[in-house]
Amino acid sequence: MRWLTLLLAAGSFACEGETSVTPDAAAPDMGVAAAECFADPTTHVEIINACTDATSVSKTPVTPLLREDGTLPPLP
Amino acid sequence: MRTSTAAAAAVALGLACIGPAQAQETACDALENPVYMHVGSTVLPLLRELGRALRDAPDPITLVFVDGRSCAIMDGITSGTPLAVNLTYVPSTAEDAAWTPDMAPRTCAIPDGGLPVDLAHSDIYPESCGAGLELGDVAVFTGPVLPFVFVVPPASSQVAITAEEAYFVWGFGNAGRVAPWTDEQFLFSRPNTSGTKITFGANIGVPAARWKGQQLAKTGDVINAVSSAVNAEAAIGIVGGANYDANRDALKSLAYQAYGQQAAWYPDSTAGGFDKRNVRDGHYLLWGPSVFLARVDGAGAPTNPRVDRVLRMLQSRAVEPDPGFDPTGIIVDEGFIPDCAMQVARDGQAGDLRLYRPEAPCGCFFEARVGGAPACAACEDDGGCADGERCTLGYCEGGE
Repeated sequence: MRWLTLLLAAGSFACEGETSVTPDAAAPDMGVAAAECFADPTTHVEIINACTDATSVSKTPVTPLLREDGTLPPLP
Repeated sequence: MRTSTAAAAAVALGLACIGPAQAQETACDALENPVYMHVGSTVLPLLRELGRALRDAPDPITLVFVDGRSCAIMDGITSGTPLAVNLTYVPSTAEDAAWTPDMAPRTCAIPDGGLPVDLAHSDIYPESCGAGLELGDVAVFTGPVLPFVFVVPPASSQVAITAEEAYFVWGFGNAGRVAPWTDEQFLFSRPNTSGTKITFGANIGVPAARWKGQQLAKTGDVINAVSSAVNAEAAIGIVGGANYDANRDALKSLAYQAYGQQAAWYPDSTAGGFDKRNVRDGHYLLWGPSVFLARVDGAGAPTNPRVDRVLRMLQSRAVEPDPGFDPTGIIVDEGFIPDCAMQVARDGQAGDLRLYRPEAPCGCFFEARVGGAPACAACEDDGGCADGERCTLGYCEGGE
């Protein structure tokens, strides 16, 4: 379940039209919330999303060229 | 060297280091115990500090260096191509007591036919430059880790960039439509053979040859272009973390959110910190080990004993005789992370992370050096540490 939550969190910003926050609205945050982080990471995805009290920045970017399924188009 | 100006950095990076006013130019091969180096510009701040210490050491060595681009550098040492431009070196305290590492190094003249490269440095592994590089009797040694950062002018309101945004900004340019980075004349990167650019490209999925924007020859050019951009909001560039640390008054780093991450992170645990904690524990993914290349014997040891000594210092390994200064401390001070302070490792230029436990951890030394409060007991030797711990660089490390 935690893995599913992570995937949804990682991919949610990627959906075109879903975002309403401009990039410069990014705000510093103090660490990753406990429900979204891994306390005892072992894999790559867990390591990069491990719990920490370091300062993070939450950002919901606007990327109009992102595909509807959240994947990247090929480079021009 | 953390608060110097961009102008001073540009000078120190070599942009203005060869002046016609120098009446007497020392011959490079007349310097004391020279090690001729061809290096990426990301390591120049470290070489100036280390170079001064080495020249003042009881067994002095003179680092004689010039910067270039990673792929060309590696091609040069493996092919035996001599250095054909005048080089730079750091004066000893006896030669110039007033010299400091944020000043330009001195220049020296090369003889006819040039000088061989004893020790090369690259920001990337040889395979990242594509096929065709035959190492021969040259071996690859990994050195301290260097973060890389996206930078914007201090006046920019931007604080973070995601990997997806970076993909569109650098891979599509104006057409990427990622505000505010939608004007290619304000996208500042490096030539396609630059290790800095190749490292960024591997992380964001845009090969160096496909980048949009301006290609600037030197790191100092990127620093100057970003810091003086007339449209601060639209400007963005790429630099090595050590170069950023040396120019924090002229640049602002962006937090970076890698593919698959939930948030963006700085290399340090705070925007203004120097602890590199997010690099060390895997939250910040724009980094790579420094790569050094040197000629070796059949056993894999450098054939030049001075090169072996310098390499040992750069790898935070034991050096005999004692140099009389702390090379690992200099490495940390200059924005690099010794391998012994890393908690994660990766394969290749941008491979997945895995947990890593160094043979002789030095995390507590690192934390103390950057002003933190290490969670280890201080020690003078192993006898002062608990079972299973070793006294490394003054701290009991390695316990469970």
